[in-house]
Amino acid sequence: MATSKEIRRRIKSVRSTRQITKAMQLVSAVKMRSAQRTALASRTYAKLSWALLQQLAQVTPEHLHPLLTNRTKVAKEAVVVITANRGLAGSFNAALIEHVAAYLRGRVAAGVACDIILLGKRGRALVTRYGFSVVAEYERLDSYTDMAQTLPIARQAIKDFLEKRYDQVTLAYTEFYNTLKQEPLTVTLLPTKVSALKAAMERTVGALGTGQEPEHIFEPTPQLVLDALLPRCIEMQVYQATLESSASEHSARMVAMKNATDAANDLISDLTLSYNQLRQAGITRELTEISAGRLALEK
Amino acid sequence: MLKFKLATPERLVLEAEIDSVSIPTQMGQITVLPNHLPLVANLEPGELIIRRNGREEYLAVSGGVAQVNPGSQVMILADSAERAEEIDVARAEAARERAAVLQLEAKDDRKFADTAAQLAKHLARLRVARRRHPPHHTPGPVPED
Repeated sequence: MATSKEIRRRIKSVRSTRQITKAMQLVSAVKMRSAQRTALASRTYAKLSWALLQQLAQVTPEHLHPLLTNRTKVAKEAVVVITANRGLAGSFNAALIEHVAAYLRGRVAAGVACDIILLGKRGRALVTRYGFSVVAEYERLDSYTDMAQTLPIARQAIKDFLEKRYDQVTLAYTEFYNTLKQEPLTVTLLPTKVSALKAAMERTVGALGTGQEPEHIFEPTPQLVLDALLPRCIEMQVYQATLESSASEHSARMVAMKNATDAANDLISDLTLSYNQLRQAGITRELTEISAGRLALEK
Repeated sequence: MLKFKLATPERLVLEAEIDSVSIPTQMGQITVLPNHLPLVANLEPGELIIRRNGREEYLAVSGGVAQVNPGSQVMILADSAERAEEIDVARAEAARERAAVLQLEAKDDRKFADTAAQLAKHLARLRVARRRHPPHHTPGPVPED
């Protein structure tokens, strides 16, 4: 049985832990809201650019554009993994890393050499724990508000793909559904498949039209409009993925910290109960001793 | 009336009913009035002029795509869009000078094209910003007598 002094010390330590988790919960809640807002703000562009791309795909043959062309043999693949910089976010990082590791094992078994491109420090576990090779690591910012912040990643991916350094580029991130539900996901970024892009957009933006639009005049030519639009769609997809990942991270952390705060509250009330019981027992014992002593003196 | 939407990757900049809009495209500047033919055009860095309620509004846009749909709908997907009020003239001027220097230093054709596009973007921003501060008018304290 612990002494009352020990219990007091434990209550104190749990209290200070609770203070920290509570603070982290509040901070994450604020960050989560702003991340969700940014993700929402960029959806109009995503939706409009997708609708336009679908229209263009109908008038230009898909095999004409190098970014749309499937390579017959995929020998080398790049996987862009978007994780958080910090932990303490429940299963957020672990779930994504598990998912990516499973995906990579499948690709390696299929005879594809995979290189990893990291965004976020936590992704390093893929090297240390699973032994995959990382070729590049981008610095993950605390918040994303401007597409220029993710542009280098998309540009480099497009360049490497066009120069045939990679035959496929895959994006792995955590999709945000709501505060309680986030899911790790891998999507093919390059070559762009219009059908896959539609699925990606519909996941985030909601149902879209069929793209059955009347004939447009394209200036200068459909090909040139596609040349201008396609890279933007790809850049947008990377940007959107980072926004989704941020929103997921902060939501996951908020929920994890809320659980920790609740657990600390339970622990404190349990400890307080046993502390009071112990104190009561002590008082009762002392009283019996005093009355016993008095009885002994009276005799 | 035109149903007008201007979006950048970061936000929906403007969604409004307007009278007409002039768009800088690669094929030259075009003005879209209601009942325009369906059209998709690539944007050039330049100034976008929106006319509504008898007033003109100026925005600086860099590249992107403009789409005119039946039913007098105009959608512009721009890489960036800034209103005249949002542009700081001194900083825009500094950025333009930096872009000009970079263009002179460009080694190959590709670099040159990139820097030329940057320069065009900054020139467009400056042009829009100056709409607010006409060059013949110097803002300053008004003499008291």
